Amino acid sequence: MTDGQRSKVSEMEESTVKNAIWIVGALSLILPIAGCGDDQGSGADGNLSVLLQAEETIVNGIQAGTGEENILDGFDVDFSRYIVSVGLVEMNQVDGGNPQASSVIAVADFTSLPTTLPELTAFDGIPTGQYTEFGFATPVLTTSAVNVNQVPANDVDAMVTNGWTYFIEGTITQVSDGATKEFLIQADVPSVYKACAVEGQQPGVNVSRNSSVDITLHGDHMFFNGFPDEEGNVLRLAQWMWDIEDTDGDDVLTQADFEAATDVGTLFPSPPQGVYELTGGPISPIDNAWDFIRAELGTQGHIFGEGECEWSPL
Amino acid sequence: MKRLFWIAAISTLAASCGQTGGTFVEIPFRGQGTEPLTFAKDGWEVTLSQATLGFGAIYFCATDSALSSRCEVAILEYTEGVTLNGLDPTEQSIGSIFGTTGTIRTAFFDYGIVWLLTEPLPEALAGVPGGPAIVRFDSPNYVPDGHSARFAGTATCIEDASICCPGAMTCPSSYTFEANVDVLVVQPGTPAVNGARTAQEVTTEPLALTIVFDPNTWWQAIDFRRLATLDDGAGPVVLSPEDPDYSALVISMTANALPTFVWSSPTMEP
Repeated sequence: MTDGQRSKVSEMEESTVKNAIWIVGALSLILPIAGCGDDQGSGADGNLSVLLQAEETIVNGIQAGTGEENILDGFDVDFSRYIVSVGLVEMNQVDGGNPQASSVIAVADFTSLPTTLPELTAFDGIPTGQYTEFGFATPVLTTSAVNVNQVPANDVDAMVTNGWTYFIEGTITQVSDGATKEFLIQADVPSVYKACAVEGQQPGVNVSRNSSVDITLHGDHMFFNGFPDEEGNVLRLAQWMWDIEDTDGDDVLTQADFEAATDVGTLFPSPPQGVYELTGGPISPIDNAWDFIRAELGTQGHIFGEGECEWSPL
Repeated sequence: MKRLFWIAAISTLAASCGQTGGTFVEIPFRGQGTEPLTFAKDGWEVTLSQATLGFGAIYFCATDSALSSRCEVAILEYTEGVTLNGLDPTEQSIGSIFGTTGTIRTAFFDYGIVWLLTEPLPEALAGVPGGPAIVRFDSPNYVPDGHSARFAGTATCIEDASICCPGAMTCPSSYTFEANVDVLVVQPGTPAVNGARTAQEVTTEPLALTIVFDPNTWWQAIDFRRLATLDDGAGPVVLSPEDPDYSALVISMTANALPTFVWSSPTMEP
């Protein structure tokens, strides 16, 4: 583009902005009257119960198939343990109003959560209204963590000692011949989830006299083809895990095996040959399969099932 | 024009809901490469001789999230395409980024190929290598045209052949390589790079931006032993999308070794 063209474009854009200012100026006057949905309550009679929920992929596994939720390249995945540290709930109303925080950290095996959904923590006697910022963490466990559903003490101790936030055990099955591989993922992925929102609704959670919010942990992100915005756009694939070699010969795929898988171009082929997009993950660089696992685990926190949260390392 | 209108309009709408609005700004935008850096890997000494890059569009957002859905309104944007010499460490003018004042935390961008939600196929922008062009990646005859990057270089074995070419009967003492890369996305309406970190408060004070690329780093992810097995002595080894190292390059460009953003107060603008 020449300087003359650039100058012309700039003039046109400035002119457009000037025109826009008149319109948006009028809108600015109208909108405050219409309200912005902050709905900030003044009474202190609100109660919010924060519940834990497991995505069905954790409980029922992920099946091979061609459906939206299936693993597309011919593998079933089942989990026998999916132990996660979760807690440190924080929320506030618009502009930081009425901040609330809970220091509770819990540990739970999400494969066997009660169907009634256990309570992680509760906020009682707080102002009602919309808490436009809601978030939580999957932090490093402490010895004082609440054990939600009788997670074995040995597992909890190991998580505390090693700083693991995830303790996952499962099986991957190649559907074509029924061959299986076991995997054990003991990973330190302390993460924070904030600005949680359900699509099409006001961000955060609404607190009334008796209200609740589900913190939903997903189980299938390790099999995503990237770190997409919307899970409707995601593809689930497991060939990469099947291709990991049991380098130490202990008949289970572990951190050492995943770390030894450094050929990321083969494991996660990019378009047009493949469908993986490794941009935008919470952990970078992704130099091996273990990095990929940790990055995906750091995105699994949601609310109310599919409500997305902004994630980042804690 | 329409996009700029919506920036102004929606920013003002947001302002009435407790966020800040903005004043129109135009910021000089430059690119910069990194001079060829010879590096050693797996017994091979490698030097790039060409790294021609296609770049654009780019959007700068207030969100610190890598979720592009959290950036419904960009604060700054550059929607055109440009060709840069990735091995030239001097500043290369790109043009101007336009938008409003505000706080920037992330950038979302493409390497010269944009796939709009409304289009059936991605498009290499005018101004990038080989652009403008429709990228018919779904065609059985598709070969990347290097709209995003065109690389060339030389690898020389500096160790014993058993190190440079383990298990091979023969090993070239040296070979040249090339790669024409089209950085594509799986879903239309999504950028190739999400949530690149760059923190800057954009005010009405003079400001300039330089984006710095380092193609040498991208190539350090490549398996030069594997490339050596592809050498037939009849010409350069050419990376194709089927080659894992093609994907490794794309992963480096889009995730592992992102360009850096240098914001500065310009002392003298041309």
